[in-house]
Formats: sequence, C-alpha cells, structure tokens
Amino acid sequence: MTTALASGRAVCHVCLHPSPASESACRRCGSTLHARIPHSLQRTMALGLGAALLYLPANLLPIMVTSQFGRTTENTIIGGVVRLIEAGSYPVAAVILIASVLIPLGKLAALALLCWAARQRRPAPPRQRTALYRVTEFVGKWSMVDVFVVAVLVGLVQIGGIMQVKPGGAALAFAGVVVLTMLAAESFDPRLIWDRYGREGARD
Amino acid sequence: MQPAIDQPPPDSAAAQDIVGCLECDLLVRVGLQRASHAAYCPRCGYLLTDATDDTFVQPFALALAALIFAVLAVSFPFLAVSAAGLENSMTLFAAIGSLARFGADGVAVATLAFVLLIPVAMMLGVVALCLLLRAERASPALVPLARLLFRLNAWSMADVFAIGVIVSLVKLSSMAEIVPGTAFWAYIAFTVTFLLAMTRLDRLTVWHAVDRLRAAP
Ligand SMILES: [Zn+2]
Ligand SMILES: [Zn+2]
Repeated sequence: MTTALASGRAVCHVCLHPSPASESACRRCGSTLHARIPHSLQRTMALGLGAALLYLPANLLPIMVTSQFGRTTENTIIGGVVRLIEAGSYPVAAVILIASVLIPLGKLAALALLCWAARQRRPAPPRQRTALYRVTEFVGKWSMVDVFVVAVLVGLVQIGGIMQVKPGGAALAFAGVVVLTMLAAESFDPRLIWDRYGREGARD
Repeated sequence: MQPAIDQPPPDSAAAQDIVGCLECDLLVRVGLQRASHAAYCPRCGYLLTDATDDTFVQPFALALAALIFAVLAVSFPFLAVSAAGLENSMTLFAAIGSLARFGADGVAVATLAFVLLIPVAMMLGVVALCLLLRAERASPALVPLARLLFRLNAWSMADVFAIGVIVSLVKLSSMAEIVPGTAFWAYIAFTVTFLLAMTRLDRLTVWHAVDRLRAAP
C-alpha cells in the first residue's frame, strides 16, 4: 500500500487524479492542487469559532415574529420547539430540535474533536474518526430546515390584518451558522486522520 | 474492494486507472470497464466510483425531467392558505420576495441560491455535460463544466427545503387550512429527480470520458 504523499503525488480534490506534488494545478482538470489543504486545522477551528459565536444571536434573537388578531409574539428557535411540544406535535418538534440544536452543536464538537485528535501522537483509530468526519459532513446542510420553514411561513402567512409572519434577526444569524459550519467541515482535511497511521491503518 | 497499488505510479499521466482516495490519500487501481460496479477504498471505505451509466443517458433524462419540474415549480402557486374566510396563495418567488420585503435580504438571497439557483444550474450543467459527452465533442467547456458541477454538489439544498416545506405544513395545519398547489408537487418531483440524476452521474466515469475525448485527435 502506498499513499499519494509517500510517492510524491497530490490527489486532485475534484477528479481524484494523482498529479506530481510539485505541480500547482491538476494535470487532468486544472483545479488547484494541494497534497493537503493548507492550514486545514487552523481554518477549520477559526470557522468553527465564528459559527459558535454566531450561534448566540441565532438563539437569543427571535427567528420569526407572528401577529395574530393584533397580538404579536416573538419566537426564538427554542421557544418554537417548546410551543410545538405544548401543541403535541412531537415529530415536528423533534425535527426542529435535531436540525437546529443537536446538529450544529454536535457538528462543532465533532470538528473540535477531529482537529484535536489530528494533533495527538497516539490518536483514536482512524476508521472511527473517518466515520465521525463523514457523519459531520453529511448532516451539515440539514440544519437549514428551520430557516426554510421561516421562508415558507413568511411567504404564505400574510392574511390581511388577521395573521402575519415576519422574519426575525435569528434567521440570518442561523443561516450564517450553517454556512460557517459547512465551510469548517470543508476545510478539514480527512487525510490528516490517516497521516500518522501509515501502514498500521491498513490492518485496522 | 479494489487493489491498492504497491509501487508509485509511472510518471506518465497515462496511468489513468490509478486514483487517489480523497479521504485517506491511498493510491488505488480502479477498473472502469464493467458498468454498475462500485469501487471503495480498501483502507478507509470511501466510495471512489459508482461506475453507473457510461452512456450518460440516465443522468441526462433525469436532469431534463428535473428542469421541467423546476419550471412548473416556479410558475404555479406553491401553497395556499385560508383562515377566517380569507385566502392567500404564494408562489416560490413571492415567498422569497416577502423575505426581502421585510428586510431579511440575506435570508432571501441564501434561500434563492440554495433552493433554486444552485440546483437548477446543476441540472442545466448535467444536461449540457451529457450532451457534449454523448456527442463525443471535445469542447473547451467540458472541463470547467464538470469541475463546477462536482464542486457545487455540496451546496444544493433542494432536499432540505422539501423537508422544510413539509414541516411548515404541519406547523400551520393547527392554525389554518393549507392546500398544497401544483408547484408544491412539482418541487417534490424536482427534488427526487435531482437526487437521482446526481447519483446516476459518476465522477470518475465523467472524467474518464473527458480524458477519452481529449486524447482522441
Ligand atoms: Zn483534477
Ligand atoms: Zn481511503
């Protein structure tokens, strides 16, 4: 078994072609070539930190403002989940709770763990960390559900003076959280998981 | 499982069937002769190729269908709501317009991009790419097109929006009566055909076809 790095190659992230590592563009498709994503861990942690900071306004500000028969209520993400539970819509409450709370926080924790482990001398087995990375990458965009719910409600519920829904400041903040965590996951180079393993990983 | 290779590949880039695993950097020999033969990395299990349809007929047909559904999804009412004798129906563009009208410009732009522009651009890209590959034309557009397509893939949120719409329906159903319109069903059909088109279009199969065309005189 030999890796691209060990044989002086850099694998193109777009077409998987292993070009000579000394070249700056992929021989097949011309994409920029890096043996490893430059400053991968620093970039991942910086973007993750940005997402964590933005997560505060995303939860403190209202995500939407509802007026019904002249009464105005501001809903935060958590407030919306509580109201859904009170109304007995448990499946929808679960979808919002998972998409808006568990996924973004879990994703930030997973990325922090992956960055930390990549620097350890005896890290956890690579297959487990690769699995964690894959889950993190896969679930990322699903956090956007609540933002799209706001989009649909704002578009639909504009019925004269009877019922109206307006978007709140948390919608943009939360969309920012999702985009930043997606960029953070994209900046993490999963090859770093295997680099310290070399041949051992093959028999893992 | 594919054989990992023991020797560094020969320097001629002609060793086209050797690819590098994106997730663990292992060099792997992948034969693409047999269709419908998936290949995984022997070390980390990454899906290297799905080697599905090297005639590109299926992704072409699915992407074309997706584009037709997309046209329907933006032309007809998406949802209609009625409460206390008053009724309101919205189209997809009107919903995005309302976001902007209430000052949520950023959310409006993000929704427009993730839900419509990126997925529709990708389907146009699939149609164009499949046509060029099937016509065996070594067009200069081939490489930029394929590159753009596989890079945008992570940023399409058609499926997420479809779930968001269903959640909205459930949320509203206690307050008002909601009637899904033609565009709602069209968008669901768009999401399904979009996802199928992208799974039937295999990255390595595309790049091998591109290589073949460029090598031909
Ligand atoms: Zn390339
Ligand atoms: Zn691998």
